[in-house]
Amino acid sequence: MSAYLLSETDRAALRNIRSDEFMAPAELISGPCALPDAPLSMPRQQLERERPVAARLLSALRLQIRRLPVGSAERGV
Amino acid sequence: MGRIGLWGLRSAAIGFSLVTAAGAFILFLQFGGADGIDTLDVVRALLIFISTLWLAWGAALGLIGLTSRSRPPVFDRSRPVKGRTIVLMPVYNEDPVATFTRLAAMDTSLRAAGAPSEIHFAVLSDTRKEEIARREELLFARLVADQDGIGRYFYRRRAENTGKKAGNIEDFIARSGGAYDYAVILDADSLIEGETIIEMIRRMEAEPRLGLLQTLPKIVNANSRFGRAMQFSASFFSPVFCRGLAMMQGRTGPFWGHNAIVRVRAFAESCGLPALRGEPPFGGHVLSHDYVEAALLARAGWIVRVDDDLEGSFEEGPENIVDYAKRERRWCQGNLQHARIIGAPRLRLWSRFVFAQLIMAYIAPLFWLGFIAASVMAPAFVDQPDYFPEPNWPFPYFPPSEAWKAVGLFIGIFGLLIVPKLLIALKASITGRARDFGGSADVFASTVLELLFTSLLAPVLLMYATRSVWQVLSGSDGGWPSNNRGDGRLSYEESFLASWWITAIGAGGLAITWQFAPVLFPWLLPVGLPMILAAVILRWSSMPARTSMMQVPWDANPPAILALHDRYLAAWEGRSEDEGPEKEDPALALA
Repeated sequence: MSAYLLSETDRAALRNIRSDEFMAPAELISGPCALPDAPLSMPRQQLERERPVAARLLSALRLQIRRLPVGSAERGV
Repeated sequence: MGRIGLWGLRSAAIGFSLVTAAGAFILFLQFGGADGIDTLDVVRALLIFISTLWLAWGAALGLIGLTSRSRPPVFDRSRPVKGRTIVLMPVYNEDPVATFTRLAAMDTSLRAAGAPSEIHFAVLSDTRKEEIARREELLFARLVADQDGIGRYFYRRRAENTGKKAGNIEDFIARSGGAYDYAVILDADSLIEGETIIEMIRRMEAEPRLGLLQTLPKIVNANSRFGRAMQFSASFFSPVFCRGLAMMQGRTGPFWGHNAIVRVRAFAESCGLPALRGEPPFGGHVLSHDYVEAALLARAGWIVRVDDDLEGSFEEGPENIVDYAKRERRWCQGNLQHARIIGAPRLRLWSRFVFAQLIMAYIAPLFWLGFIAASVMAPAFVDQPDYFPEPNWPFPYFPPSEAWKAVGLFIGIFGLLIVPKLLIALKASITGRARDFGGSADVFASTVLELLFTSLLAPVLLMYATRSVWQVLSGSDGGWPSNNRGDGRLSYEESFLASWWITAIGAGGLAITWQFAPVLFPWLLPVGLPMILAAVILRWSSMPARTSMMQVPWDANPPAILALHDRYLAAWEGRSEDEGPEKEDPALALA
């Protein structure tokens, strides 16, 4: 650890440590203070439809038009 | 409240907003159409409709909040707590002294409150700056030593900050979520009383279907004029609006990203966020993840709830308009991205409505701006009235003036903004709540001051909001001047650099109005002048507040957790002889 990285506040903080149990940071973080190993799966959720709403609307409209008999008034042919 | 009551209330609030907006629409059309309705009149009336709809919705929340009372859930609080809880503090280039002392204060507060089970703490670092990361590691060692924290305190730093805060939490759950039943999620500036954390855990245990419980954090430690106004607003008005929100939430309440507790299993099952298709701003990682997570939990059948009766939850707010606008810029992008998520499959209808509100919150200023611009343009499209429609008739005919309708509309719109706040002040005076804020006279004076202050800031914030939307849509970022002072004070230079373009638009806009629509000039002065004076307002509002107005309860009686944090901070910074609150007897620390 380079001393120049520490501010006055940091130095004050480290001077005032009240415990004898102070361990080197690297030891702590890789040792007793590393996160517990207890994995939990977090499956990705579906946020988007496979096809966007506009595309589905368009295809639904096309389907409707196809269902109308040729020459019908609604189809305008 | 049953389903029918809930939907009745929601319908009433939506109905009130629609009727009010329709009233504004008709009134404006009658005013604008006095000389014949043209396209621009209809456009302006539509813009007024949308803007009023949004304001009326806010007023509806306030009115519902005013007419209801929060009640804590009823359950057996003597039941032993079985669940294991961890307090998560995600950090990103934060000052480790400030953040770690908050953890120490919460830990001591928990022990003083007699935490019914062991509660762990984890610092989840996404810090990118190496020098800050080194400080985090070093000062974490002090935190562990001070709090006898081996086995209870954890630290990890991610090599890549994929997915930002949501990715940070997700990484924790994927790695360690199986070890805990509940996780209290904080921000780096969060503080929660130990008693409140315990009550949150108890409420999770009492309702097994509860997936997420949100508290309403109050803003603390504000010093500047801007900060004090936000702090007053958040502690005096927000609880009432939050009450209104809580009444309408049903099972689909909000998540604001922090000062909340989640059921880890529910969160893991339901809240894995995929990256959206395409590139940012609308594609990529979900930015405003909190509301999406709330919607996903509700979709999976979990209850999401904000309990507005829970006190003792705090956060800090921005101290100046520039910091506020920067934060809004980030949130703007995240909330506009919700346009991609609003149609997600199987979402609850209310969740979709909430997404629509979030989008609206950021685009509403555009409607106001559009209305102003259209109003300035309107005279150019109006034919001169014919004062002599009858040939050979010597007396002129003056078309009937509908100006009173414009005045009525103006008063009505301001009423939607002002009346709920005045009613909140009135109710506070009647119920005695005003005593915590300096008494009835102070509360009314502070309310009026807050209204004047927000009216002054509104045009400046309108411009920042408009620029944010523009930047998001165009994929650009205009950059911000740096401000390294801890107290948030802005110099004139910083203020000018952040706002010169607002001044230019304000001056240009008023000049155009003077030239093409002089009749509108006095109406637009309250908008144009604050824009011209934007730099002065930015600077002035960032200065320390010297008035006794806008008091909050903790001015006179700081909450125990704040006092505790101050003592830790003073001890860590070497500002006091005190070595920090006692480890052996935490109750002494709170004495």
